[in-house]
Amino acid sequence: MPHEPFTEKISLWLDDELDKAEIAELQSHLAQCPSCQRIHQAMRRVDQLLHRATMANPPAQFAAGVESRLARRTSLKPGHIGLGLATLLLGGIFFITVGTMGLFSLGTVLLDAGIVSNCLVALTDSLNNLWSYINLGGLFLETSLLIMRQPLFWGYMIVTLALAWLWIRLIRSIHRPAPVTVDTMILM
Amino acid sequence: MTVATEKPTVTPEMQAQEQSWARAARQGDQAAFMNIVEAYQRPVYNLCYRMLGNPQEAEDAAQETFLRAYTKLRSYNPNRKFSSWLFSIASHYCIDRLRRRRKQIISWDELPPYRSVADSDPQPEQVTLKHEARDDVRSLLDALPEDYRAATILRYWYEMSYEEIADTLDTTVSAIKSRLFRARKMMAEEAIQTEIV
Repeated sequence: MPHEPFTEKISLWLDDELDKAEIAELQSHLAQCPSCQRIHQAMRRVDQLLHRATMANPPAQFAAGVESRLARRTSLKPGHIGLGLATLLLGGIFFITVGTMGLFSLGTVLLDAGIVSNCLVALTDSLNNLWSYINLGGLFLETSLLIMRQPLFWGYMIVTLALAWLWIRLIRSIHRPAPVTVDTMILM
Repeated sequence: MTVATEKPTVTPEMQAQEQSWARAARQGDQAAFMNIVEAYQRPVYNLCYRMLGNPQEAEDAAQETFLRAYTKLRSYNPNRKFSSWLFSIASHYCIDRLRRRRKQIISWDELPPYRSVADSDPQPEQVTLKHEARDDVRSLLDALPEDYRAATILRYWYEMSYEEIADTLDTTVSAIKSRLFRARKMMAEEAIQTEIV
């Protein structure tokens, strides 16, 4: 005989979810089934143990801890603002300096007589047929590759990524929850 | 049937007061929100403690529950019972935390068992007996998967109905009946094996 339907009914009985007829049927089964009777007794004892258990008390400084964490999350401290502004300032100086240098490098590339001449030819031809547009695209690619071959470009990219990483770290440090401490707790 | 003591009860007056605090907190009134924290710190902490079994983790989780409640206040539906909404945040957070804990490389089982400051002090016999009962409760809850544990805690410590537990855990009444039955069966088997009761 499968026991599960009966053990399931024991759980409902503990929650006062059975009517009299169902209780009578269950009791009749328990009287002749030692396995279900064993589970029933254990379930009842566990039920009593859990009903006796009381609420655990939070530590005395609990509410103050919530208030402190709430304040930290909802406002930026002057230190964080200062650090953020300093990063922005340094980043700005860097971008302006290196960006200007980059533009000069680009100017040097464009001043190359061969490339400029090719550009002009391509531009003229592009007015006549579609292939010229493809040539023009190739020329842009050639120019881009020339720029990417310059160490300054990669230095620029690396520093940009480093600044982005620094900024993300800064934002994450602002939102990181504070460590909590527990002095004592009273249970049961 | 034995009725547990000190279970939280919410009167209609308290519910009206909570709604008023929630409305004010939604407008950015942190003092009103702190009233909610004061009113619910014990049940929320208890829920986290029973779920996680560790005072430090419980304190952190309960604090995080309140912070999440504060940021989600705008999505709170005033037609829903405030306590169910708050316990729902706490339960889901603790369930996620227990699942993450299982994935950690270092298992808690490999760590030495937690002993509070009070445990190391000499205790009168009555207090010691209470601590033994607490350990029994802990062992029984530890034997349960996260979802079953949450349903059991809400049933025994908060005396919630099947409907309220289902609402809190975002599931159906039949699922709760099933979880409670399976949880009781697992705890009964654990109790028989370890001779807890």
